[in-house]
Amino acid sequence: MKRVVIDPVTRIEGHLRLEVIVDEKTGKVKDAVSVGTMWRGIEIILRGRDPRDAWAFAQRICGVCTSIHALASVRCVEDALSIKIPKNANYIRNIMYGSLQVHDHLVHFYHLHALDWVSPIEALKADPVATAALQNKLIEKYGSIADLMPDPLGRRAYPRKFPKATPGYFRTFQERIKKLVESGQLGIFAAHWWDHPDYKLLPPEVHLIAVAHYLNMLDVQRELFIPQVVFGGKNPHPHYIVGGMMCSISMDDMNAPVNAERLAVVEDAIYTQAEAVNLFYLIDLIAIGHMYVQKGWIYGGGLAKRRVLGYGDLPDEPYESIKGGDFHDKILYHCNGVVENFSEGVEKARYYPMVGKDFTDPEVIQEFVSHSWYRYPDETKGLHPWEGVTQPNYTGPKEGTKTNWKYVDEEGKYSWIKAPRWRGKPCEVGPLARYIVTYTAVKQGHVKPSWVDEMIVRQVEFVSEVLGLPPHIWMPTTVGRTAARGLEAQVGVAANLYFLKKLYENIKAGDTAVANVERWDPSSWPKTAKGVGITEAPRGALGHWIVIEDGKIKNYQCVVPTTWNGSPRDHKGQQGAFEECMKDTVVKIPEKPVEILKGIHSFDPCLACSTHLYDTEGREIVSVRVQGSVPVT
Amino acid sequence: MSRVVVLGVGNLLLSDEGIGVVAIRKLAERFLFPEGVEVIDGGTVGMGLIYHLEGVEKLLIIDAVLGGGEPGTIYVLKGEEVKKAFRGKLSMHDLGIQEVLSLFDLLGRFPKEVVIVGIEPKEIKVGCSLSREVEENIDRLIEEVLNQLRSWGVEPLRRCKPC
Repeated sequence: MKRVVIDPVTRIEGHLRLEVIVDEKTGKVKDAVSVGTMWRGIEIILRGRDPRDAWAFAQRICGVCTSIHALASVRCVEDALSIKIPKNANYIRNIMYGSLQVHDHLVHFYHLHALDWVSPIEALKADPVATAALQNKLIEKYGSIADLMPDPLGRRAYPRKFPKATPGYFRTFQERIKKLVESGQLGIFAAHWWDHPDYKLLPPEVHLIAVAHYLNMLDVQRELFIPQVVFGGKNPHPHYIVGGMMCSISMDDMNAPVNAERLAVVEDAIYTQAEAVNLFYLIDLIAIGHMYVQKGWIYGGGLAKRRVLGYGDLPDEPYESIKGGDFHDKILYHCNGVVENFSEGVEKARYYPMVGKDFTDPEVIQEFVSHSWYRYPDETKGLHPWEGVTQPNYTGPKEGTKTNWKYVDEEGKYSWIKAPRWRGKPCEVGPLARYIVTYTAVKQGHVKPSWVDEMIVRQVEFVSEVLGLPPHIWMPTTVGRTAARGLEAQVGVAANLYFLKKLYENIKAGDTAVANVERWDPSSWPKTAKGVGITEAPRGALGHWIVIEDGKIKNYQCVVPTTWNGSPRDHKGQQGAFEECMKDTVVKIPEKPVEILKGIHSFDPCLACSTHLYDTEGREIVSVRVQGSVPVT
Repeated sequence: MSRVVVLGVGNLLLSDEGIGVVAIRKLAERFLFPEGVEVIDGGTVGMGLIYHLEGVEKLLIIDAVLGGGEPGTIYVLKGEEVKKAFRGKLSMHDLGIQEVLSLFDLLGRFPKEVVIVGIEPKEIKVGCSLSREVEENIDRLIEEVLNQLRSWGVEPLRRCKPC
């Protein structure tokens, strides 16, 4: 048995440490430990502040999924104070949400995750002529996935960004990589296990296509974000307001934040999203995923096989409240529920809905700290976020000093992440969880499917046909987790087009309201109020819970996606999704655990918001610890 | 004129870690900048930063820098020191500015000049206020930023006091 330490895991936001116990003979992972090494204190900062300001603080937690905390925050305050936002604000928030999803998912695939699957070194061996021919073949083979995306505005006819299938295009990128490799300064490609046998699973031409698109998408990705910039006024950290949005609408005013000209810019950006997703992202994803699956890569599902959770999102129209249940009556994306045992087949899976009352019931969502560096009055019991306590209690590692760990102590406290649980049980969250819940809800007939749900079912069937495997086999795996994210990016684009059309029609009908300020003045608020703000962040279900008293924040708790997925054990020893995924993975070479990185990166971990400050000494934040026999940095 | 960006990065929720953003706000409050010069609050940046840095020739980054000096010590890093600083992760933004810059490097579009003007933090703890040591040195930090901009031929105009 070998205990391998990966610290820090690179190409993620924030700091994550993994310790894996591998059986060297079989490559099986016997046990795995995931450690959040920074502590987050947003709850402490918000206490005593004006609830109308909470969104501005909350979204400073992190700049990666920059606007999503603002969205959850304004939703929880509006829920507490019974504020219904105008139609335009709902449509605009949804377009900003969809644009974040598209941008975040695409950047994750190409710039944070791709190098686990493809290698610039292998790309050098490719023949540019054969690569161009292969690119054409892939477009022909998988290109029809673009047809799964409804186009309510109907202007998708002539793409401007189309994958170039010429030898010259691929030669240019190959030359650039060659120059880099020859210089000995691999820069961003440095220090990786490029000699790992997994990189030989794909022909060099596939590596070259993916690496060329990695570089190509660097230029395209910034355009995907434009709707956030137009409607939010700035990026990162766009503007929101409790009651709606800040961007006033005036179609003829050249200086208005939203006018005809700016909406044209938004529309243009959404069609760029469509091209980037349909013609690059999805085709590369399916091609690479298909080859890996054919070579036996159908593991890494872990907890996804047994239990996934979603909250639901994309309200079609403004709703009265979240805790009252109206939000879930209005949403288009019916991933609100828990699904157990999906890996036994969609018919046998158990489905439990998640609606308004489940977010206020003290027994449904709770956080535990028995293995987390926090203190609770009774650590065998969980606390609902409204009653949540954030009191640090750092106990140090099992071996090593408090600031220089050798091994953490998984028997005791070992992470700065709390352990959220649904009815006392751990769940995986994220695009894969959302897809499993939605697919099960539709197939078992629990919901009246919206166009979003129907699109998801068609996507799942498309991929099942390509892979020749039923959904319950390919979905709860590392490849399935990565695939669901790409498919969801396509849903994001479709939702953007849908809500942009609604926005056009509503403005045309004479409604230009973007904010409801009837309850802006605290004198109009009740003495005490409680609210829930939920959304489906790129990385999974996100909830903010607020308690307001005398116009000020009395308690504020965020339960973020990476807290669910990266959670340590609870008092019953139940493990979170990262640990379960690693335990469901086979490692060929313990010193080069590329498989572990594939698995963990497939969650798109973002530790910045699940945890936020290194234990006691700020300086530790910058130290890169190399332990065991694993090369890092 | 070449495109110049002054970018403040940091997390406002972690006391001295937010100095880059605080400095940017003060700059925007006190000065008017000529056309072609952008002053950007990068906050806790991510890959979205590419949007702002495309085509930038001169980039000035303001951030907390752990250089080993007394809290409040001002650092100006140029040329190779900048690349070294990122390699050693002097900044705590794991995914963001250095990733973005190394990607630009890969594309052969690294800005012609990158300068970091930084300050040694006293504490990086949860909270929205700066330590006394950093607070007292903000004006010196801003002076260094202005010196650097002047050497690039950028002459910001002081705004008149609010009437």
